[in-house]
Amino acid sequence: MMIEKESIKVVISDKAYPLPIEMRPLWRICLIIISIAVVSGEKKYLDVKKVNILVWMIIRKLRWVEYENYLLGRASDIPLVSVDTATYKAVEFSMSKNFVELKDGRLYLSSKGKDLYEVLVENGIMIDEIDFLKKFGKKLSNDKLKGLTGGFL
Amino acid sequence: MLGLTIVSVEISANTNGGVFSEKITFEEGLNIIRAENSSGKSTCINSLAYGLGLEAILGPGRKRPFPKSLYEEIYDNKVDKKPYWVSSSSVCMVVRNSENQVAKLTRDILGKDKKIVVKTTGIDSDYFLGSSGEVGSAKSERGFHNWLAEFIGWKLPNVVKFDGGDSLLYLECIFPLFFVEQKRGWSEIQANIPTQYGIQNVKKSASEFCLGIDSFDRNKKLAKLKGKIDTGKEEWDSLRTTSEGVADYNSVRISKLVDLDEKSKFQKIDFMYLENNSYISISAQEKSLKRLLESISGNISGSAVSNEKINSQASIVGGVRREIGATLNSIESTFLAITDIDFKLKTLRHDLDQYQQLRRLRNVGSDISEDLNTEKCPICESDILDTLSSSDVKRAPMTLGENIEFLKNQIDFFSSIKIRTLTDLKELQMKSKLLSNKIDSEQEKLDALNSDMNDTNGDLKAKIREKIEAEIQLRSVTKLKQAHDELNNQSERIFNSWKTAVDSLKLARKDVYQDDRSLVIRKLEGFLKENLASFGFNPTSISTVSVSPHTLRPEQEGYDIVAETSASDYIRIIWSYTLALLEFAGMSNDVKHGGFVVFDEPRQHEANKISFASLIKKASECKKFKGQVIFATSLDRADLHQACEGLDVKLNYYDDYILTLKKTDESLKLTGNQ
Repeated sequence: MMIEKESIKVVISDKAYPLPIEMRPLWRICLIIISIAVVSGEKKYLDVKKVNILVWMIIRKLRWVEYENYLLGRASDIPLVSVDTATYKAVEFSMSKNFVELKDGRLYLSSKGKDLYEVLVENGIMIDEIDFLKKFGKKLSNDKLKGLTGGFL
Repeated sequence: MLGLTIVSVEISANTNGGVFSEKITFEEGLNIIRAENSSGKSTCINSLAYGLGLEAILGPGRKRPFPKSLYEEIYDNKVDKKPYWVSSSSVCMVVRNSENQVAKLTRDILGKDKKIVVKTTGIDSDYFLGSSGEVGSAKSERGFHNWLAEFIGWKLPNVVKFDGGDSLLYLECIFPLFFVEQKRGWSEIQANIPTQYGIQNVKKSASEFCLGIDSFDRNKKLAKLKGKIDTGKEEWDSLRTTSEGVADYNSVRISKLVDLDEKSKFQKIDFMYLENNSYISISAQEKSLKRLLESISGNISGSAVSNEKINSQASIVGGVRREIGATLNSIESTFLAITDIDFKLKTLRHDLDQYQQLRRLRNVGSDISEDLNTEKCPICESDILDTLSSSDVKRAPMTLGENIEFLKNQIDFFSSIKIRTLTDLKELQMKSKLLSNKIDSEQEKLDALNSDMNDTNGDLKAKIREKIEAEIQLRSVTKLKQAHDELNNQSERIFNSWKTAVDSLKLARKDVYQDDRSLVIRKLEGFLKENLASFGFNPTSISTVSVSPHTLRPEQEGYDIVAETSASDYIRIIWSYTLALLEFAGMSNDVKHGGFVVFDEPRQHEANKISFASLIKKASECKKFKGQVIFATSLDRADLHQACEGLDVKLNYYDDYILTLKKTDESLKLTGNQ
């Protein structure tokens, strides 16, 4: 029996595509800002590595229980954490826009960065993320950081 | 049209020392009662409402609207304060209607206070207040409010209540528009409207009635139609429950009964039997059973049950079991699919929420908004894509708005899939239930055939059994058919009645009464603004004041004036609005008004002297259209005199108590002896 061949037309589209929100520069900048503002306390600076790990965690809401257990020492399993180049790009963006300053491997929140944090709080933006950071952000000690990265980050 | 003019009011109290009384006469135009505080001004003002049986408009505490001087003890003057004990007291009012008919109304304060004696053309008639048995004062022929409404020339409309029923718009609901008493009256327009009658939008209804733009009949019609629609829906739901119960009892599948909404079309209820893995209608089942009975009846003979028959029945049982297994698998996979969809929906909703937060941040209208722009490189200012992905990709991501729309579409898409999957699940569960019933009956048949195997008449027994079963089944099918027809008749009736109500409601809502209404509101607004200008209201603010088409009360740029305005401005708005209604009614026969306006202490201290002088001037001008305004005030005598200079105002000054001892016991005795 003959099988009738059908011709398939390949179309290459340049139509705009949907983007996960964490890949939007502004969203990621805000995640960096809240990480520093909430976890650093009065000094308003935080280690770049810690910022990277915290942003990795707050993006992945479904794994928050797993991170919580690790940070509180309830579980010995080490959650998977990796290098996220998008966060480094966002850090560069934040620095260029003067929201943060980099000094000695630490990210300092500038007065503009503090203003942005105020705007986020006033407008009820990132409430869940801020809440997670308030509860567990400070539990990310240097030892926990080393445990997560194996000292390579 | 102005309803009444108050000619006079006389308050009397009989005491152990004689009769204390005062008769105040009123004229068209402005009437002022001036006395110091605690002299009995409010007693005089309250007596106007009381004499008309309208003490409800005096606010809470209306059951005893007078001080103890009219119930217990009264003093002859402010200096000696010699007490006299009150044995009875009353109010006597003379009123005139728009046809110049005069009526004298007498009501006891201490005594028989539920009765008003009305004297017209020399005849005394008793009318009652409150309710007499089931019928209230406004409805009963002997009810005073019924008489008063007729005397004024009003036909009180029926309005919708919160419980869906209807009620008369009582006079107590209308008169707060004309009567501003001292305690609560200045806190709000129509402050003292009684709410105990449970009338929907009572304040608006009262204003609509007065302005002649009432939509009471229309509202009643709408409420009635809405009620019919609700009843239709309730009956439909009840029918659905009954039909499902019938289907369940008879082990049949029921077609989905549609939800009643504007787009729904009538669909008959269908019951279907599950036979040989397919659904057949009641009629088909009935035919097949009849054929089976015919074939059995023509072929009943005695022999042993054949292996072939048992094997055939065993294969039927096996088939049904396999079908049950397949259905249960489908149910399980459908459950899993629903769980997946739920998870997907949860994620999408979370993404949407975050995107909406990001949009909110972008829209922040502060100095920071410029810094939030990520579409330009902060270093070289060149255009960049709004993404942190690799710069090798040249395709642009969606904008925030597009991405939000995309997520909303995805949510709609998955929600509709969920609805369809839930329908499939319900269908599968129904099928599983039917199959469970089926397996029981087929297994019973197989067991019976097996037990008949060694019997020489086994086949005969089996056939007789089969016949009996078929006959029973046929009877139940016939019964189900009857129930089916009955349910369909009912559903058609309910659907048609519901549909008619829905269509009628659509038509009723397209009424053309809106144009007249807007015109009347604009006219009232004109009077209001003119008065505000007279009372020295800020000219810029006047342009922002309007009469709300929704509440028919003044508002400022769409906001409630009470919350927005200073006390002085708000007092002037109450003056302006109340007098605007009087003037409008004086000029137009279509606008209904009680005919008089009463201001008890018109808060002259909170407005300034100039405003108060303008109020007096404006109020005195109501004589031109035969309106009547009554003020009670404790304003300084000289100031009042100055404000009224050159104006046509009837002034009543009192330096001591307003009620004075007119007849002593001795003089009464002398009068009696003569």
